[in-house]
Amino acid sequence: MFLNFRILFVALAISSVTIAQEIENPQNPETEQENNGPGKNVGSVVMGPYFPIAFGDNFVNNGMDLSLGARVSFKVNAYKGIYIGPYFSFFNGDVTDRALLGNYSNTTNFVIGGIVGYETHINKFDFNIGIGVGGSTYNNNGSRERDGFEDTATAVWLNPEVSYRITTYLGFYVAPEIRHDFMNIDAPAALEDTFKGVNYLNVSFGLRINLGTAYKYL
Amino acid sequence: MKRNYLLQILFLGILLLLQSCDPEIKNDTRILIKGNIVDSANNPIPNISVRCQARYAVLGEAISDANGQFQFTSLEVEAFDSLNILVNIKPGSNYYNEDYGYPLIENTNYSAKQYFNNFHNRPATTYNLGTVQLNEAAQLTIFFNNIPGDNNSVSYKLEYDSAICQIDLNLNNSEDCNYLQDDYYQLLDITSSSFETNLESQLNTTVLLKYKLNNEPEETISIPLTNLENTHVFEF
Repeated sequence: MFLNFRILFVALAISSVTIAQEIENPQNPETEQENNGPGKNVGSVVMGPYFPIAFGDNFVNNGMDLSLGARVSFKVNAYKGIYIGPYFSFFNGDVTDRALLGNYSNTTNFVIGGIVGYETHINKFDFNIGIGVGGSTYNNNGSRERDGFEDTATAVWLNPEVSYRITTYLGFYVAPEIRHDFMNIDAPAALEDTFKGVNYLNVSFGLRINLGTAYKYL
Repeated sequence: MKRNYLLQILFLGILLLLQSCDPEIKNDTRILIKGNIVDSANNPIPNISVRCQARYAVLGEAISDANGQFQFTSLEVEAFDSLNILVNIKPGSNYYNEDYGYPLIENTNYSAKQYFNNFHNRPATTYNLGTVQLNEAAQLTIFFNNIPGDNNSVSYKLEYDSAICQIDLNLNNSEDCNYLQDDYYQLLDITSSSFETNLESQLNTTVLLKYKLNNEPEETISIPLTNLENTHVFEF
């Protein structure tokens, strides 16, 4: 909860700065275009709540109750709409079936990885699709403080995203995410199907901050 | 300055001590435990707890269903801790102390079993315990009565099946229920008062009361536990 508020405050602070910059430096797009060309598209930052939804026959879908998390990604425009960048997400979950998962009470999943994708712009809409890969860690906790342990995985995901610019530098996005975690859990053959991987159809929406002057002319 | 160092060392020592009290749960590992529980007449026993435990930490648990069957996933601990699968034993029980036996049993109508694996480098495996037979629990009260008028002295010890049997998962037919209440003889003489002692064992087993009268060769009295509650009188 504390982390959610912190992310919210950071988002509000950044958006305040971007709006303030727009107010303080009103620029005539035509003049700008005449002097400096179409501007530079640096990239964008998206951040917002993250709703994890597991599906399929796996330990998360069958034995956990997932709750809200958050997602942040930074996309750097590399070449003609192709972007790359770092990605971070987390969410929490409570164990509902200890006979299936083992005796622990809750987990926090973190993914740190990278994304690559392509973005295009139509009017005030930005459409992009990206793929990502990263390390996924389930920080599991028992009833006692020292009962913690980790499950790790390699996560891959496909991430279409649509955003709408409400100002030059600020917009809202919505992004479904299809993700698979290739789990590193060592389990007997009878449990392999349950613990070898997890499927997610996650949804995130929130704030998008556009970086660079090119967004004025899109 | 020296005092600061001493405090730091003391603090680190306490931290290490706390760390060593709990087993370290192994990352990225699960094991499966399954079996079915029956009584001495081969009838399934429902609602019997089965726990996987390392020291005090419960790593996985389940109770037997109406057919006596159980299956659950458990966590594992790093190899320097032994893994215990406890059938009908209270959670977090300290089964290393001298009160090993009846007070640790959860459902006191039945005996209990402790399976253990002391091997290092245990693989993530399935522990199929198969059919776990829990005999009905039986109690025995022995009255030691001092009969006035003789100068005999007697030393005795008791040997019987504990209410909790131990099984090494790495050995075949390793079930060991034998329990010596004392591995030395208790001495009774003319100054000893009459008293009674209670023990908990398993139905249809036999308690051996071994004694030496006036340091003569050892003799044995076999006391069969044919009822849930049994009594025996020993006069000296």
